[in-house]
Amino acid sequence: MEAKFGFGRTKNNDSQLKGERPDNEHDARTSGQGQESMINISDLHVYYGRLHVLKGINLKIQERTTTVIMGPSGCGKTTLIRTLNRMNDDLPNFRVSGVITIQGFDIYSEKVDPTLLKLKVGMVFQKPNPFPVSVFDNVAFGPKIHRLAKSRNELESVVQESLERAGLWDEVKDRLEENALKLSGGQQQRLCIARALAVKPQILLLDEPTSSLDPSSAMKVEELIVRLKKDYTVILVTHNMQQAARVANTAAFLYNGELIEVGEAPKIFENPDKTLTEQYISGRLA
Amino acid sequence: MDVGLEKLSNLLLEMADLSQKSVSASVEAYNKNSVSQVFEWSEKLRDLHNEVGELAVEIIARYQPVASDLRFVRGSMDISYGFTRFGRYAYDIAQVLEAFENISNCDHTLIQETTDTTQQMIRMSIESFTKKDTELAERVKKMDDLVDDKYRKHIFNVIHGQGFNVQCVVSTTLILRYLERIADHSACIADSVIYIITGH
Repeated sequence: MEAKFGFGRTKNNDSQLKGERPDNEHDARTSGQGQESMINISDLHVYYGRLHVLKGINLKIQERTTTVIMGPSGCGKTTLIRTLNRMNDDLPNFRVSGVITIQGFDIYSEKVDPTLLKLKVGMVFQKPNPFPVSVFDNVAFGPKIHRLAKSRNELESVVQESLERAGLWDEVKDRLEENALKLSGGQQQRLCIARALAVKPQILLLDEPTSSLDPSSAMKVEELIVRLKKDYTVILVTHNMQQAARVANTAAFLYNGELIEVGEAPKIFENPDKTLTEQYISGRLA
Repeated sequence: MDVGLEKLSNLLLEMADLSQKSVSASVEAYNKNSVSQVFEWSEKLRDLHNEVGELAVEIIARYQPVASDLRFVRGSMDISYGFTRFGRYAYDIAQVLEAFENISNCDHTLIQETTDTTQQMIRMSIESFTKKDTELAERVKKMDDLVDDKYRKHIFNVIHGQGFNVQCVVSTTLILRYLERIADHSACIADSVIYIITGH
């Protein structure tokens, strides 16, 4: 496999993306810090100049699970997830040490193309950011520029499938040429998710995707997140403890740049091992 | 949420006090006519149990507690049920003593011994809750075996014995059965205390 294509890419991309798994295998997956993992973060340190932002993070993330990264503001959550698709690379004085592998490939290896990495590790941000073009063009943008569709028909098929997966197709199928900025906040966010899905990622990074949405829209996005983990590995940053408890398979608590505790979500939210974790999730951390 | 949790705790303490009084009054009913009083307390305990349930649900709906707060809310519902059962069995005991009019000449030794153990278990289970003492809770659970043992031995003797006074045997068996159930619920309360504190 050529590392320059990102990671783990073979001639037939779909064989990696759509491996059939029985449901009970999915359910049996645990936080699995001791098991072979999709993403392996080993002794990760991140610096912005002299500021030591992430301190010795060790974390394994299993395939097709939802991992929630939680912690107080400024603890390094966003920095952590942005290391997974190298979005921090262009930040001034950014420095990283340690190893991050995705499907066994070191993503900070010189052989890795960060652009292709971002195809496979998609990201959705807190504030919906659709392009000021039509709904169709928003979703088609990625496949077009990366030449992932060989014909107009194939492109339309990709757009429809992505919108369906994002739970938006029924709401926009008659408005595909309408400007995306006319959609509601919740629809815009689901459009952004569809746009990320259109380039067939394996991993989705969601940075507080519902924090700027009204409760009804937030619930729709949350339901989408639950559906997505059947096919994608999802990593979610959220301040909303209840949302984290609802959607996560695994919960990881960061504090002051350190990974304090990680484990299966029910265990973390019912009986965390660390006092600091308990204080944070019960809202008592000063 | 802390205000809600404190209110929940206070309700449980009220139930603890009332249930202890109920059980004490019921076993003293040999000499007093306490059935109506015990019944009144039993009804009050049921009302308090409903209040605990409503408050617990409100806390969950409003605040979505997690970790130790969640365990406390859940454990409180189990504990308040235990106290309700104390009141109910106390009433059942008082009814037996009222129904069997002439049992003052029966040998009450076994009932007294079992009552002493059961009342001690009630006190200890309440204390383990107020002091968050898992060791005390574990001791309550072990004491349940003593009560079970006394009850089983009595049944064995009844089955294999002869020439008993029917009123004495039946009344003693019923009262022992109710005391055994009270002891079981004391052990369940102790279990809930351990769960609240340790999560296990």
